[in-house]
Amino acid sequence: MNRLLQIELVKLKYYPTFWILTGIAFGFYVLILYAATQINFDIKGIDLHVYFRFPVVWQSIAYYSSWFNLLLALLIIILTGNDFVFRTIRQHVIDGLNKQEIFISKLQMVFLFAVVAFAVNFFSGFFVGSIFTDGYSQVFNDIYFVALYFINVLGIMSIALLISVLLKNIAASIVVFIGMYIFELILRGYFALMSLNFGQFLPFKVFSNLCSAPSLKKMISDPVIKQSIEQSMQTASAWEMPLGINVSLSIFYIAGFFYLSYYLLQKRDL
Amino acid sequence: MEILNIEGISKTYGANIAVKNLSLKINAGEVYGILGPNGSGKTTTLGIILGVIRPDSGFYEWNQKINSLGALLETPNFYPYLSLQQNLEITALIKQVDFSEIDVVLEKLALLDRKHSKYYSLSLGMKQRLALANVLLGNPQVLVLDEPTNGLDPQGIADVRQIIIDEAKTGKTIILASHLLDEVEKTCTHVAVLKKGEVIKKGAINELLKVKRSLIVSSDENERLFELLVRSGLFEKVDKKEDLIYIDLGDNMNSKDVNEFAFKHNIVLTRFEMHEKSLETEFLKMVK
Repeated sequence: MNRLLQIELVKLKYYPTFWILTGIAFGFYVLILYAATQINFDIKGIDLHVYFRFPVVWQSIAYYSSWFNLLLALLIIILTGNDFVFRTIRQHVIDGLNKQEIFISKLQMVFLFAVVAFAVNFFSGFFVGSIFTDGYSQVFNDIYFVALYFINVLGIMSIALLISVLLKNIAASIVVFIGMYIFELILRGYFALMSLNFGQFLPFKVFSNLCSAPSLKKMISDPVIKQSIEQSMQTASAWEMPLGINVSLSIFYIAGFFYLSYYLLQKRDL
Repeated sequence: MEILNIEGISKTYGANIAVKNLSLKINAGEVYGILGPNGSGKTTTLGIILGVIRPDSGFYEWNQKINSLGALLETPNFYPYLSLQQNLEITALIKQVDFSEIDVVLEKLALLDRKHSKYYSLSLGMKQRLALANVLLGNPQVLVLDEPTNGLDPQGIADVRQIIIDEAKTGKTIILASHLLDEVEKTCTHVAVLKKGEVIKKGAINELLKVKRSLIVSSDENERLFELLVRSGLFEKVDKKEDLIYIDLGDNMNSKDVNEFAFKHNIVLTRFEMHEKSLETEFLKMVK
């Protein structure tokens, strides 16, 4: 196994906080998903279970999984912050790692988390979809939402990594991360009031667009109601970023945040 | 063989000058002490040569043939939630050393029976010993130690001093920053004294101390002897405190010359004490 990843895994493997947070999050993930699948309204023309069938389930699960991004961001902040708080990042350089290797080890940790989150997302979607769908003819339709979720989670963790490298302090990083999210919400609200589309280009929004909630109209099976809702939504809908631009912009942001983290590590004393 | 060449490094923190145009050359096999009062730039200098602090100007260069280095800078830095074994596993992975060597260094530092204890449960002295075990892991050719006896009890200090001496005997190059002058005097072959970020004295420790021998004398005619000694201008420095006369011999005079000087002037010396000046006396004089 890669030496740098092995170093990160030793830190993770024996870290109680990591297992407690992950355990709680995974427990809630399964519990909420199970509870959601048990809900059904007996109203004519509305079918809630459509969200758990292929192909819609991929988007539903990607949206649902993105709720847990905060936890992944927290883990990145805590694990990176630990290295600054315990000054072990400094010790690693003294012991022989260079700053580039330290950055790569953090990057590998971020990708590892993203891959695990991706796998959980994929298997949850496949499992739930298999239960609620008769047959697998549509199983691969819309499966790209799993890939979009991967980019989404990578994006959120790239912000977390940058903040923790910038501030070198766990508590401050958590406050700033949540503060940035709230600030962006306010800014988006302001732009929306001014009828400007700038808010769509802000990083949290760009990432969250990748895992947007599936449309409510999907649960409506009555064609007449569906058409009338579609008409009303067409007149009210705001500008939406095309998916290609959204993905490109996300990758641009992720690359930018990773580069800034690398730059800060290289340029600053430890 | 030159191990480390430092050329004109400087580092400032805001208005504070931590290191100013510092140059040093350290050769293989030397035990090089870096002395200086608090804030003199010792740790910053070591931080720079270890790559954790960026100098504002100047450069340093390790010999290309050096492929292993063990260092302790300021306080020990480990993960408190990990055991000693797990913490050293991380270092072993960094240094690309076999995990089996962990027991060897823990044994050397008398920590083997605590290998499964969490780092946070260790005493200050044990933490310092673990830091030294971390330094020695992988049997590095060069050791850089910043205050290695911090937090240790007298027995611990003696043990660490012995380890440094033993490691030096194997031909290792050791760079040791300390404010414990006795420690430096007993372990180092060379020394550089820093003051306000500048090297004010450097060289072989024997050379530094050899030329600074002094005498304490007294006689029944102390006043006359003192005046004659001062007037002669033969000696580097002559002082009188109460009924004792302190003579710094300088480079060209020795104790026999003082005896002959007194005899020539018909003065009988009632006290004649030779003093090899300690590093402490010299150091205090230099940084004053």
